[in-house]
Amino acid sequence: MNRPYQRNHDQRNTRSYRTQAALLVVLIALLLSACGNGGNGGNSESSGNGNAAGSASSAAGGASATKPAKDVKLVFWHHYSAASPEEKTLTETLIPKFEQDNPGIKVEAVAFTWEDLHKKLQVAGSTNDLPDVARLDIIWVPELQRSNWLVPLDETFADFGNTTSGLLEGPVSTAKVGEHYYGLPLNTNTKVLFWNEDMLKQAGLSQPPTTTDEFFSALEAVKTANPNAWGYGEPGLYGWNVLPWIWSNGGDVLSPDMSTADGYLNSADSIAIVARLQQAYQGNKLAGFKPGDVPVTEGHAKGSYALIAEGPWAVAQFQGQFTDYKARMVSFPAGKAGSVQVLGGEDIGITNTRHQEESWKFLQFMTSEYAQVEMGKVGQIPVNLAAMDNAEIKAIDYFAPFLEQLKTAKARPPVPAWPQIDEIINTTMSKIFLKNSDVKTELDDAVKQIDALLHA
Amino acid sequence: MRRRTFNLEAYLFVAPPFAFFVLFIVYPLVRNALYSFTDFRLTNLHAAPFVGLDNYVRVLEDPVFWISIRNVLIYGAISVPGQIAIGFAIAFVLDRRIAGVRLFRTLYFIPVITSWVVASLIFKFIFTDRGLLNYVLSDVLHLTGEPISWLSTPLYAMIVLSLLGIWKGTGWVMVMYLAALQNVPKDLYEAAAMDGATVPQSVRYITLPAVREMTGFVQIMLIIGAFNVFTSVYLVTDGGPLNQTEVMLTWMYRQAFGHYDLGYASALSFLFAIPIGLLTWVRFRLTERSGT
Amino acid sequence: MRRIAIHTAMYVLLAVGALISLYPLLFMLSTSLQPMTVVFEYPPKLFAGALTWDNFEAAWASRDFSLYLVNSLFVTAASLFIIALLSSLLAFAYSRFEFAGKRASFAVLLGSLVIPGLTLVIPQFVMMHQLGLDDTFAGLITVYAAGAIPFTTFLLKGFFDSISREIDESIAIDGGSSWTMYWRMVLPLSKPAFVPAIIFNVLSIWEEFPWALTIISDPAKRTLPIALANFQGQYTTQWGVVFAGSLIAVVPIIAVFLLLQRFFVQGIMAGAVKG
Repeated sequence: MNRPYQRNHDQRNTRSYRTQAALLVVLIALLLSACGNGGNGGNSESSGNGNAAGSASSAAGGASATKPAKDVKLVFWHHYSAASPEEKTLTETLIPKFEQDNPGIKVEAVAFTWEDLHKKLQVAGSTNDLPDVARLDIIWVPELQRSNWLVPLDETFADFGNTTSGLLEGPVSTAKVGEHYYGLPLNTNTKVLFWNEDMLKQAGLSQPPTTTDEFFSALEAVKTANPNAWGYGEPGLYGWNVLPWIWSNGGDVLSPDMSTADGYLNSADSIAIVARLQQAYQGNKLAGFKPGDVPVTEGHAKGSYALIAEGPWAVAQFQGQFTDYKARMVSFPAGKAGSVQVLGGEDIGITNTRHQEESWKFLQFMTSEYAQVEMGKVGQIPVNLAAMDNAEIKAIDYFAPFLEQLKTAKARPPVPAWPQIDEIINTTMSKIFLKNSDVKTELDDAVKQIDALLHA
Repeated sequence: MRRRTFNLEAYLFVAPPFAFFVLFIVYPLVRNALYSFTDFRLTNLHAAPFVGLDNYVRVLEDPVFWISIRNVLIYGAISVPGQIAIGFAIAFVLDRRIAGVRLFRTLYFIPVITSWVVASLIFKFIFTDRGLLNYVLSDVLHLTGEPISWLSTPLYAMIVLSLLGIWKGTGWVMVMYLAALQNVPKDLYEAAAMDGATVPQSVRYITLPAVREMTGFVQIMLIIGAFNVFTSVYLVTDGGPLNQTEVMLTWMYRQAFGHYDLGYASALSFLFAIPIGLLTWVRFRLTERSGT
Repeated sequence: MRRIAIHTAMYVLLAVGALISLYPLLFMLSTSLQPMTVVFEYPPKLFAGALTWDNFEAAWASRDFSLYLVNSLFVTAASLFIIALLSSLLAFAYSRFEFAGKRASFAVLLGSLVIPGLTLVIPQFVMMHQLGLDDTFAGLITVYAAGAIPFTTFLLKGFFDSISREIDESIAIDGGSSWTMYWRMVLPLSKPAFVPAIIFNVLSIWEEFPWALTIISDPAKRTLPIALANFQGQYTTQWGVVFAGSLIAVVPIIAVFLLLQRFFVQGIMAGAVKG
């Protein structure tokens, strides 16, 4: 046996052990800190003390103009899907261009899923770890504003008015809470009715439905022609999914002053349309939101759902996965209040006061014609007026039905409690459809819960 | 030579790993207990006002809490006996020198090393309304007219999840029984056969008594596993529709990271930990006694 | 004659059982080899006419799958290193030293096996956030390692106890320290105990889902299980790609299992001590 320590003194052994034990601890600490810093969402390392001064001096042509201080690093959290064309455009075209135009500013973009970004912003906000800039679903703005995590742009930047005058008015208003604006619009969207031509033909229909009545008779016709198919596919039961029906039929979720749901979500018009949908569900003419259902977009292309209401991203999905299917679109079926779809989209806001000026430059860049055209090419409907007139955007033919639908699209109520209200809508609708509960009773109950939230 | 009191050398060995363990396991456990008495929200990690037993009262009044317990019981009632019966049967057959034994043991063991995430995704796909199983049931065998909504009918969904548990766990039960069966003398069977005993008789009077301790151990292990079910439910039904397929851990997780209600979820986790902890403790006692 | 009949029946049953236990995996394979558009057709096709590697290419290339694979490998390897190191130090101390607090601390260690890991997810998440370790591999590794220490220590201590103390004494007489004993004697002799411990830990860390789901949001830091779960979107699921990715995650484990079957079974049996 190998005995290297045979003649060593005890003392030395103890020491050597201690050194080694200490080494181990250090090693583990190093290992952990090494992976801890490997591109961590960028909270702490970009704290950039003194950087703001450095960049300010470069603008003012200060003493150290030859060697500007360290670059300012902006951390940008977004929810463009990982590895999507949008993310590629962001990281490979837009950010390099911005960095080239603005020497001294670097942008680190971090992608999350929609749910994760919402959660991350909540957690980071409560512990002061917010990024500099974030892409925000328009329905988050009131909630984040109430927590004081967003910089009021119109109060902070003198050229706010100049910037927004080049943008579409409707989307700009999505960032307004109370008297102030807490973001710039980044992209807008809504849903239109997609119709599967072969399936409708099989049901004896040459045209897609344009009114609610035609829609429900189309559901009948599809079921009769093909008992294995559904006339309509709806992937969820949230406000995003059911409000267009209610709005188009003259109902609403909250009063115009957003103080109550009573008389709106449970109005006769709301009840009537929900009951009609419930009946269609009971007749197995619509599906898509239960676990185990055929996924809606795929099912639409493959002959399970004749009609679906989806956003512009569905077009990209059809083109990518179902090359032999040609997407056809038309305005959402009009009820007695017209064809009213839900307004979707994102804003971009400043969530941190560290690098306000640099962040504002980035916001202006992201809403500029150049950036908006680039994002438009990968399916993000622009909000910049010049970009809308750009030849490359005009050449994208599938934007047309969405732009038409946007004219009448309506935003979900901008109240801070919207995420909770949305949950109540989902639960209520699930009970109505899956348990076949009485529509009026359930909606009255939902109104009570929503009013309790509004008055909390 | 060995001192009972302060032994510097020993502490040098013990301190780093033990401190690591305390920091990431014991300390969180204590914090969890404290959270459960506060109104602690993911949206405000700075403030956690003390609310006494409010969270526990809310848990007991929460209908989904009781649904989640019911569902775990359904899951356990199906998956535990299922795994034991099938696992034992396979082990009994494979505990002999027949051709291909090694191959079969290998094949039966593969689900055990398949990850829960992957297994859940496959089962979800097979059991969708227009999936393979409905196709076989209605279009090939003509047993059902309308396709069965496996995943959106709460009881059926719990059955699907239990089947997944059985599929995944049977190989483990088989291995445990194969180990126990090695200690059953084979000449007992021969003697029994000479006396005219049938196979079921010798199973009942020789095999089962001989592996009784293993059965007890496996039972408790599987019950603990049933209480711990999370990933399959999260991925296959996500507790839906209307929280009807929620189990204890998915409900706790949703409260914490879906509803951001950390204090409430901590209270839930404590109530969940009690039965699991008790069972594990019983198992330890059994293990000590039998010396497994 | 009757013997043959019984034998045949037995083999038929065994084969049916084996088919059931393998069928989901075979079905996954066949689905992943079908073109995207075929997967959603009804009736489902067990084997499509045209086989395609498209899904594997999609999973591998466009979805950063190689990155997730590397992430999983790194997290598993780093966790294992820490687990093996810390657990063996601890097990050695419990096996060879007497010190105040020995019984109590060992009881705490074993007692923690009673706690279902997921019930600690809330305080651990808050703590990782406060340490700035959310969305980092370190956040994953520390919790994986800390969670595995009690059980691995228990396993190794049992083995260390069985190593004859005469060796200790001969080292002590030769002037070797406890460190020498640990490093030169006990560790090299304990390979048979380490192998099952390592296999058990690898299996559980490789497929760990809830904790990774909780603290990893940055897609670049996803491990395989959460990457797979994320392929399955809320409204759309590209099953072909999901299953191609699943196979890439599962096949290495099955391959290693086939090579090291005996040790796997040992590892699983050893793991039975843990809840």
